[in-house]
Amino acid sequence: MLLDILHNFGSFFQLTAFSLVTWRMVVMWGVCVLLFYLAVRKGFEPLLLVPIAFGALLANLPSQGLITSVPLAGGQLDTGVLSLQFAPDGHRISHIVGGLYDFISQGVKLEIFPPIIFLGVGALTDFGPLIASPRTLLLGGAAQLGVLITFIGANALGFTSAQAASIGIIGGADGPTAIFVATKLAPELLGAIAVAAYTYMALVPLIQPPIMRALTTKKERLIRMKSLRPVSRAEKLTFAVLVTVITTLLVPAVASLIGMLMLGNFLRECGVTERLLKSAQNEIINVVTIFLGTSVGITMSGETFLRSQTLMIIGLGVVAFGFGTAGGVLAAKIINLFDRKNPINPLIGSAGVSAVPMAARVSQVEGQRADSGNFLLMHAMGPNVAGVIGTAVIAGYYIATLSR
Amino acid sequence: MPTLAAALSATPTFGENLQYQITGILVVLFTLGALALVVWLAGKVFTARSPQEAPARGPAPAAAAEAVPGSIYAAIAAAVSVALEDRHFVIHGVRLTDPRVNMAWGAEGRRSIYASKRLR
Repeated sequence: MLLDILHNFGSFFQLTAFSLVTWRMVVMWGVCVLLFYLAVRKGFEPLLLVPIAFGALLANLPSQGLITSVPLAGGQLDTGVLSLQFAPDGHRISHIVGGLYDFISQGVKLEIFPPIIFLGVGALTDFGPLIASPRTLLLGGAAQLGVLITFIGANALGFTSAQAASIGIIGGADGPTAIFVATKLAPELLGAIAVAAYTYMALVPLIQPPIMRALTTKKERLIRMKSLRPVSRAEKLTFAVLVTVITTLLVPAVASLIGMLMLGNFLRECGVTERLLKSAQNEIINVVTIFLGTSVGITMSGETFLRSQTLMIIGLGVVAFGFGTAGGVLAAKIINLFDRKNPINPLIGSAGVSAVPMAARVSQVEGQRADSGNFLLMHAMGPNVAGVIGTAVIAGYYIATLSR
Repeated sequence: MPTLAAALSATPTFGENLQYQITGILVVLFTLGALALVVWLAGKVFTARSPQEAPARGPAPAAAAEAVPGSIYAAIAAAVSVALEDRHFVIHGVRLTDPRVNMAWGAEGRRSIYASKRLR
């Protein structure tokens, strides 16, 4: 009897997944632990990094009924693959077969989740500072310098143009846009790009200040900006409509991102859709954040993530953030050459890299370090939200010109 | 944009890439510049349409000071006494400022809030 029990136990052990564990999976468990540490212990963008890390953990377990991976040419894996089963007559689909995340990750593959996140971002964002000071839109544009330079650098390192564009967008410091572009242009790099983007967004308070101080004089850091004028509700509603129309006409490739961003903002400002606004600000963005994060994480199997390309992407991400910060600060200094009566404190230029509202808070902190009575936060929110639009525009340019 | 798509290969030369990126930043700056112009014009229209509210003038400081009750003077004197830690002092005057102009109290509140934030 004892022998039978041992035999049965041995047979059961053969059904377990231990024998399917590879060294890559074990290494990726270490990567997951690192991401958990950064998110939970260090507080690095935990709302995104925790789901991404957990998705990565699931991707590196020999699971069943969770996700389907199909090998592609070049050693890449296509994840989230659904297959169709046809009825005997051959004309009707009888079943759609796939694991849990084969279905959920369609939200990323079909580019549904990033625009929905933008709906929530729009519902949470006050564009008033930008409307009161429209010239700060240019700072949001200039901060895209990091995207362009990183594109060139990535190309020089051997990435294709489509991959380089996806890597460069990390410099926009806008997670949903980075995921949106990577899904369109370089889905094989999605996991590494998302991790780099969100990690560096959390590191903005460490990356930006040295660059901001190096590029500004003490006198410039002391500049006190004029108070922003109040902006009426009608003006905010007009802004939402104008941005939607103008941006969609100029860069139709990002109509879904900008359209949802401004829909969320319209819900916020119109004052008659309180229930919809609350849903967009809370339940919708939170639910989609969980699914977006885990769907991105589940693409990070050891086979696709443990490559030299990942290290290069992480290195290029710092370059992107650095040049983006520099671009915004230098643009503010250039504007000051033409507008001496109403100068801009160049410290708010760095907020043009998006990373809302972290980058604006960095401008505030650096401004107060120079002058404790100077409040730059609301001024910095202008370029900060302009950076979201700027990153979407450059993303649209890349998608329109590089997607095949 | 189809011409641009054809212009940039998967592995372009540095010159081709530079040209492509310059076009890109021009697209961004043109789009955001156009938005800035339209938003600025819209702002002008909205500002012109909303009649400027004449600033409601408060009482003259001297007159207002006269209206300050004695208990407020006592509270100010007590606060100064605590701040100076019982050193001898004389208050020569109390000046009332318009809170809509002088935001010192609010500014101090914001300063203390931001000073308490711990940024990584």
